[in-house]
Amino acid sequence: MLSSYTAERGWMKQRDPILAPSTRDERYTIRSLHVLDDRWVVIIPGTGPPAIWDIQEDPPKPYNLPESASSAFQDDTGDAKAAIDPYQGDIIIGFWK
Amino acid sequence: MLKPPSILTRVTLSSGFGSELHHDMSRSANFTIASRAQDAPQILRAHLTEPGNDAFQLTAYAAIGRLGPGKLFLEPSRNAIIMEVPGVGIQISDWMRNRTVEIATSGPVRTVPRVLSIIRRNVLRCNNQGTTIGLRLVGDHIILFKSLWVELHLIPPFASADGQPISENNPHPYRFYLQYSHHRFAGASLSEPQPNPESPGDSRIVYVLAQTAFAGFFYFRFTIYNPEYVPSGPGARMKIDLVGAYEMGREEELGPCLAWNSWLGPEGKRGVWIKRRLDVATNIVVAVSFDQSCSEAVPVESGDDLQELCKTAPRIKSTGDIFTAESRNFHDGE
Repeated sequence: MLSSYTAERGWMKQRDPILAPSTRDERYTIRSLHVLDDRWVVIIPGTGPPAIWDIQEDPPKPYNLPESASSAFQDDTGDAKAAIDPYQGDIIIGFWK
Repeated sequence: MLKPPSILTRVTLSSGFGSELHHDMSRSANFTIASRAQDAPQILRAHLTEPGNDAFQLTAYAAIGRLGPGKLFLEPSRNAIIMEVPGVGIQISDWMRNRTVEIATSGPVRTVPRVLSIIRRNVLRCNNQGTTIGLRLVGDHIILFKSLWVELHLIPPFASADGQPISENNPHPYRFYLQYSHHRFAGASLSEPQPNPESPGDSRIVYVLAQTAFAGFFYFRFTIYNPEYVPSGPGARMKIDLVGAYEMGREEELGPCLAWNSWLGPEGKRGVWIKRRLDVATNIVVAVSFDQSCSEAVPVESGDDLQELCKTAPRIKSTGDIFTAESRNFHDGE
């Protein structure tokens, strides 16, 4: 064990070029997309808060984030990955710049 | 059943662009991160504390060498980082024992000039026959999904402690040609290995959602027999079934589209894909749910043309659009 850090529970967002739809004129991008536990889909858009959908529902059902969460994502940039806590259901979004 | 996600937890790293996050759903609330930080690439682990606690520990677990630019695959249960190394093949590194093994794979690995647009790149990527577009470890083997074929390799032993390679013949890889007419696969998402209810002791199932840019999306079941290596036992073999298909030319109702990208959940039950409309430059994210009973699955033989098999294979039905970038009206910051 080399060292340790403490990270805070909070909010984050990121940049992932995988889904950037084109090089020049595309204004609306999806930075990353993750299917968690065959149920929850987390989409990190170019700007703004993540979109979370329950694809176990037919049709798929959007999950609304609280307003405080939405505002916390406004200025985030960087690369991100998402995962889910199998016991608590919490979604983790790794955020690195 | 999981409750709706009520908390988002943030992990922030500096100088770690391209880092990879992984968790093992079957084990615990532990998360493994391969940090690409230029100054000190390392393995980090995060463990969630009890609900209500507003902090969790992120621990530096092991130092690792400099990582290449390609996509990383993490297998924390094996302490393994897997990556494709151009000109070499697949490299598997054990971060606990600081040892590496390389698997020479077939076909050239070429890079694509950056100046090309992503559409152009997507099309050209299909021509990189040797490029691995998806992979998964299964027992002592690794599945490599390439643009024209699938390979099943036995993972060779790691080098001994003194750095000398262990002399042991590695059987020829199992290669299975897979294509739709003249189109080649541009992306593939592989589920985690699942037990095979028909033969739980000696086989595993991996579900695959793959796409070609112009032909569409295809859902496969890979059955891998004898995935654990036994020196005197029968070698591993693989059976592939086409469980469902979504052909762009037959299904489109909104205008010309490309099959842009696809993702599959870890159990292979559900996934999403993206269609890109060419006329209005819009991404359409579609949710899909798969019938894993596979009652109408079509067996695939190496070299078969999927275009022919699609005539009898079940059609994949979407359960609905979940996100359209244009409709969300995101601002680009300008």
